[in-house]
Amino acid sequence: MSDAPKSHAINLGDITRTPMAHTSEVAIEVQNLDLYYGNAQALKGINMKIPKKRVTAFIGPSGCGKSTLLRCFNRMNDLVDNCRVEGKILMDGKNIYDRDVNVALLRRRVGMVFQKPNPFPKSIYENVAYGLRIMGINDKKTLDTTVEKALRGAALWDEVKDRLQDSGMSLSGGQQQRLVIARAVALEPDVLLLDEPASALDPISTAKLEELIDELKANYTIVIVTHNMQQAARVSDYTAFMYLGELIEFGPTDELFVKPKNKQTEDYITGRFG
Amino acid sequence: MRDWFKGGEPWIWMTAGAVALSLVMVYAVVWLTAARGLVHWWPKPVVETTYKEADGRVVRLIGEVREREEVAVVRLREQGYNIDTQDAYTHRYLFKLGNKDITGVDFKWFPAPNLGQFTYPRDLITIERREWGNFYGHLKAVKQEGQVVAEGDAAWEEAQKRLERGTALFREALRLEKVDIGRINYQLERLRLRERKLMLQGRLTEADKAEFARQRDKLNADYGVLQERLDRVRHDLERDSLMVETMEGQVVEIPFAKIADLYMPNAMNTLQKAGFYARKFWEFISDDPREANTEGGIFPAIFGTVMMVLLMSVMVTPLGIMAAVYMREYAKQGPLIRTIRISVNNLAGVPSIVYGVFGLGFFVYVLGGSIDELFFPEALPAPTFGSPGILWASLTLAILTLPVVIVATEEGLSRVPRSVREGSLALGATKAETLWRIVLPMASPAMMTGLILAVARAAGEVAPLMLVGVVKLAPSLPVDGNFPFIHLERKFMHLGFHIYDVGFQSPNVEAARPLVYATALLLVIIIVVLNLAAISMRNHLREKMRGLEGV
Amino acid sequence: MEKIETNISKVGGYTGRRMAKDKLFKHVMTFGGLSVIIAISAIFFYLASVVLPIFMPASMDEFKRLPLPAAQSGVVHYAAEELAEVGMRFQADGKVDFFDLRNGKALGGDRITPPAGVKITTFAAGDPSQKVVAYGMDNGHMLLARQAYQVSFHPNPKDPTKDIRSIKPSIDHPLGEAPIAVDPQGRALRLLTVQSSDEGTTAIALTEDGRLVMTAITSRTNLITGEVSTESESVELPLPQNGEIRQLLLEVKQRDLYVLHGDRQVSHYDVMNKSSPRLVQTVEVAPAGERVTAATLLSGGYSLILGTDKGNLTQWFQVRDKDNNNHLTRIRDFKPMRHAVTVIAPEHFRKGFIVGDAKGDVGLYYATSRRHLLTRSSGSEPVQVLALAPRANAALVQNTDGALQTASIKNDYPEVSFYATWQKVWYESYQEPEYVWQSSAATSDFEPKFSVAPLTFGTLKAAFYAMLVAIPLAVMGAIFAAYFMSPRMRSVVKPSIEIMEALPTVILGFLAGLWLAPFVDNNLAGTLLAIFLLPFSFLLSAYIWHRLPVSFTQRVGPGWEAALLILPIILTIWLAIELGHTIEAAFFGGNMPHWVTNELGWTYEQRNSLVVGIAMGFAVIPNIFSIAEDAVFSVPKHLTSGSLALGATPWQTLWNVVLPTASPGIFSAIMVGLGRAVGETMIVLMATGNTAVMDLSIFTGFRTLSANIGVEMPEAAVGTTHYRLLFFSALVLFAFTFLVNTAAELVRQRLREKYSTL
Repeated sequence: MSDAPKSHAINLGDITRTPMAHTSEVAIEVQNLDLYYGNAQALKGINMKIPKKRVTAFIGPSGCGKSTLLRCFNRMNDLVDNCRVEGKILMDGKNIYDRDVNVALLRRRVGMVFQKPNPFPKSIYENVAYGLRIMGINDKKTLDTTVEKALRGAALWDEVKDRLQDSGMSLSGGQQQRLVIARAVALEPDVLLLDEPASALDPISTAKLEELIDELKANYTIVIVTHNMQQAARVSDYTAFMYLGELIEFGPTDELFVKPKNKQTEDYITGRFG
Repeated sequence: MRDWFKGGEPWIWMTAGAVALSLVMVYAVVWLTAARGLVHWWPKPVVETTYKEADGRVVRLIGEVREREEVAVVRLREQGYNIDTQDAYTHRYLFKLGNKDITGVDFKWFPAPNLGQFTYPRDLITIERREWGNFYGHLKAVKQEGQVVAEGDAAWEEAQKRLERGTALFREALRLEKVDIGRINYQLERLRLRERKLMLQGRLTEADKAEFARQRDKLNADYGVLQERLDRVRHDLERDSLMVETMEGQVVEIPFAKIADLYMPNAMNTLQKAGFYARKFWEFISDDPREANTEGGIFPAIFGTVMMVLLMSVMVTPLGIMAAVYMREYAKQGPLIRTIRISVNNLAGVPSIVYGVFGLGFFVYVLGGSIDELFFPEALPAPTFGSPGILWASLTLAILTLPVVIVATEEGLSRVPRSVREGSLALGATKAETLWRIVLPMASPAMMTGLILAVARAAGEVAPLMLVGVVKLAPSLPVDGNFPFIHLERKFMHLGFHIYDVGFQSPNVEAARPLVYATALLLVIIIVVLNLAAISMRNHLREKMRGLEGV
Repeated sequence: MEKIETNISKVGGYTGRRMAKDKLFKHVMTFGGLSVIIAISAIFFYLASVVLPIFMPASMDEFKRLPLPAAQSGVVHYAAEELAEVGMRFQADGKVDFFDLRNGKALGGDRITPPAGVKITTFAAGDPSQKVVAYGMDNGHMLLARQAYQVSFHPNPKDPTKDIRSIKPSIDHPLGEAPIAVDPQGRALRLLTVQSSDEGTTAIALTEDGRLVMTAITSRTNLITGEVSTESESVELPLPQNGEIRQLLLEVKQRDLYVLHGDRQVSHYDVMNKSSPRLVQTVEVAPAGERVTAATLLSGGYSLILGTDKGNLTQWFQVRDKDNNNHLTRIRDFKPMRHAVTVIAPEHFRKGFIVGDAKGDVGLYYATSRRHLLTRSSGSEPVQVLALAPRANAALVQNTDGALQTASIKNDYPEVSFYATWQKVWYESYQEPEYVWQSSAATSDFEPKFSVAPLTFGTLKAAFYAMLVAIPLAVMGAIFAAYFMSPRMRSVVKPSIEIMEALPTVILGFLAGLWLAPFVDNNLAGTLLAIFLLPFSFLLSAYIWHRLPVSFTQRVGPGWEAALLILPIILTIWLAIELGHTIEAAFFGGNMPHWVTNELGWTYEQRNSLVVGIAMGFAVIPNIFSIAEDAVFSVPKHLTSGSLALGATPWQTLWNVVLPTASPGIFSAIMVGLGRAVGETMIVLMATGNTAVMDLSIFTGFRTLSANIGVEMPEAAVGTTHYRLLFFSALVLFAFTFLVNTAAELVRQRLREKYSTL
């Protein structure tokens, strides 16, 4: 599924300009991305390459544009009325902002999990099967297998296997968040975007979630936005620090946290502002 | 005391009084309707007493006591009563004397001081007649073809048996007349219209003419057979009669053909009365009205109301939902859509009579008139859809209730959290799929609430209906056994209008009063139940949505 | 899983179908939604489109000459048939020409022939609606004739749905062809006036020797033989005091005769009794130096229209004074013509007329609405003969040059003017100008009275009394419910108020009309007393509660005052009714309504404003209550807690903090309530007598715009002035409620914004 042609996935020409992870293949490449809300510029000249099957974390003070950038990857910003995007985001060499891109298909390939768990007011089973049904898959057997696989993948199966017909709303917050991940995983996307997934969760659920993220990165490219630096340090392979709509520094997490190249990054991770 | 005033405590109590008074008013209205409506079906005892006339004569009175009220003696004297009392106030009784064909007055007030002892002889019978209202009197004998077959105590049993036979025959006659002969008349009319249509199109050939004539002859032949059968049944119906003595002592013969019901209220025990109550209640909601709507049942009014409301729901639901979905989900949110939203809200406050005027002018005369010219030229100048009817009434009420549905649906849509929509979109669902699979189902209880409120409003609305289709007495229901079975162009009866018409336009308001209260009660129950359903649904929904927003 | 598309720009296949469905859904919703929105906004435009024509001015085409052959002798009269397709020309010598009114084509003719050796001396036309004319002769006889138009239909070979109509004009003789003696003495007739209808025929003539002779002819048909026998009776009328008699005008019902004599005098004769007619009075109808040059009676025969040599036009009719005497009274003046009036002709069925002057101008007027509709020139010669077609849709004019000119007229709504709808109008057979709404009557000569003033007044009166009841109860109740009431009680009260709102108004109207109205009638003193006593009972209960031991009152807790008051209310009402009886017996002779009528001289109606006030107040309370409650309830809590923390009592906090903040909301609640009260139909229809009177008394009824629509709309003929005026009332109601509600909504929105910033 996710083995799309890779020949043009890496653009070596950009390597000097674009901060990027070493050694990995690239899942998403951002080129000169500007984003405006009306007249206000929210993202300024972002260039980055997000490595495949790794966890990339976006950190930065609130309002720095990290969620906005994340929402560009599956074009959720299209829903905002006066939002305008300039520049390119390439997936498999294809600019997802091209006119011929079908947003629905793009979002199918780029799953997203939000701050607050948002299960549908349907049964657990139907929550997970929702994306498949949308895609026109109604075969009972396929659905059953996929739902189980997705719930297992989200480490929720054991907890809910006996009550698949219960409402998704009846689960606890952490379970709901994992349900939402299962819902996204069921479609086997290439990329999974996590927008502060643990912000509404208690520490135990958060720990479970982080564990899950660790497991998921074997199969998925994961981009996570977090305001929690420890979390970023714990779960991510690469970290991007953003500030006032600009990408300040991007690199392997251990490097960025240990010896940041940039003064602002250093100030932020040492807690001098933010 | 001054501090008490200064602290404002008394004013708080004044505001509390306003609430309390409003509550008292609401429940007084409901209670008054219930109390007066519920007794309608209970058999009323027939009183026999004496009355001293102004000239000193003492006469016998037989009748039901309908009301008792306190009244100033002066007023009574002003009205010409000769009252021998020192009190300033006394009571007076409203008697239903019945026997309208003999005495001429159905209802009459009698001051209490001039009345004798009330007695309740067991052999007094109440006869509900098909014409001239009730009859009260002492049962004397039962006759068959002019010969007495039972007298005295035996007469009662005999009378009941013959009543059953009479009722059965009457039903048959009615069925022959209304259903069978009605169908033939309907078919004859359709035949005429078909012929005229062909003629107007200039396609009427001689062969067609012959065919039409043949069909007409056949129908006429059928009609002859039915008419003969009807005559026979009517003849049979004339066989038996009842001899009854009135309060003036006159013995009157009443044929069973004229008797709808017969009972001895004074001889009934409570259980029998309860049975009677149930039977009368059933008759009330299942029978046609009699005597210019002042007696009998209100079935056509219930049927008309329900059918109109159903039609209205069928029209208003998709329209309202479409408008709401468009405004909330598709339209660009800006000053224009905000203006439209306010306007739509405000339409709910436009007087209903205005919608009636619009309905009459636009739907009936403009739309209906055009439909007639295009599709029913053969019936012209008699209008088909160009006159008020149930379709136009439903449509008018649909427009009238549209704001209710739109507002409720919009509210429901706005309560669906953004996060849930984004969840669906993020999974690759299109906007339509998100709306159809997630948003609309979540908003459906709100739509339901809106629809219930719309239905409740429509069921109680009368003013516009007076212009666009309601009549005091519809000759036939909008649904019957004649093709095409549903006749949307027909006029219909309506509970609310029934109340207005019988209570205010009928020649004998006094006689109709209990029936109007009963009808009002029925309407109030329908409205209150619908509204309570909507209220509880809305509260339930709010709880649920609050839970959803919390996560 | 293979089915799932991986290429994000793929368009065909299943995805294509999904996208198509998405688009379709969007289009359906947009189209449907927009259509609904457009449809409901069309209500306003439709209503306006129906109303608009009444504000359109009348129009008249240019005059067009008809190529009729010239008349051998002078033309004395023109007439047209109902559809204005066929016309008749009456010449002075008795010759009648028929012609096609549209193109002037001759359609033959007839001749009213005097006996040999007898000469025609004068001509008279009866009321146009009766189509009768008469020629007076020099032997004291007259020839009576009537226009007849036979309409027949022939099948149309081209279109079977539309038959061809043909109209055949002819002359017939209602009393036979033989001359009828008018002057028993057989002297030549100099002036003549005739009216003939089914009830009889009356002719009044001035003879050459200066006598006024009246002859009344009654004809009877023998039911068995079918033979018509006539009886006639002649009598001489007293002559008016002075001046030469110039014109005789007998009105269509043959009861009154007006004689124009001298320069400016009209004498009125009562000729109802055909054997003893009498001269009632002589009136100077123009100022000195002015000469009346033309006179006519309007349709119905009540009003006299006079035109003078100065072009002035006045309307006169008889007005009955207190002593039952009639006086010919000048009612109104119209905009003068520019030159001397030469001829006036009435409309056949309405109160309009057309005027010709000495310079060929033709003016169109309407009496009731005092309107001058238009003036058209027909040339520069004086107008000599003038007539209107029966439906007043065409004018026939002949100037002194002898040629007939016609023009079609479009004048469907002359009855409406600002004056006619909003000011006092002096209607025919009324004693003084009045505001009257009376749209129709049984007789055809009825003058429609379209004063919307009493209806508007009734609407406002109804709203006023309803608001008088509703505002204090609803606003105070809302304040209590929002601010003081315990939450548990709120959960009972709010649904109750919603039920109150939902109760069909037909139920309220029915209870008000059939239960409350008689109850109030029987217990007037008690009812008024109850209204007066209730506030005191609240205060008294409050004081008693205040005096009760705290240990007891605390158990109930605050916020339950309203529940505690229910019993005192019931007791107070009961007590007031009981006391009311005693009071009525002691002070009002046991019958207060009677006392109100006799002693105060106020009209008392059983279904009066008090009853409507209570019933409609009931209907309006929930509207005001829920909005006002919302406004008070949503006042931010930190405002009130601040005040309370400063030591203010809850009432003081309410008065000084909450109410000032919430007052726009309360105001908007009252506006919404007003909108509801103004448009309510069923309650006023059932709880008042629906008489359109204008007085403020609480003991009389009224008629509102809405009830008027409810009553009259089903009977109004489509397209008439009446129909459009009813639409106009609906439009006014629509606009009023819409504006009031919009204003209220804007106020509320601003309030909400204010709350959110506080």
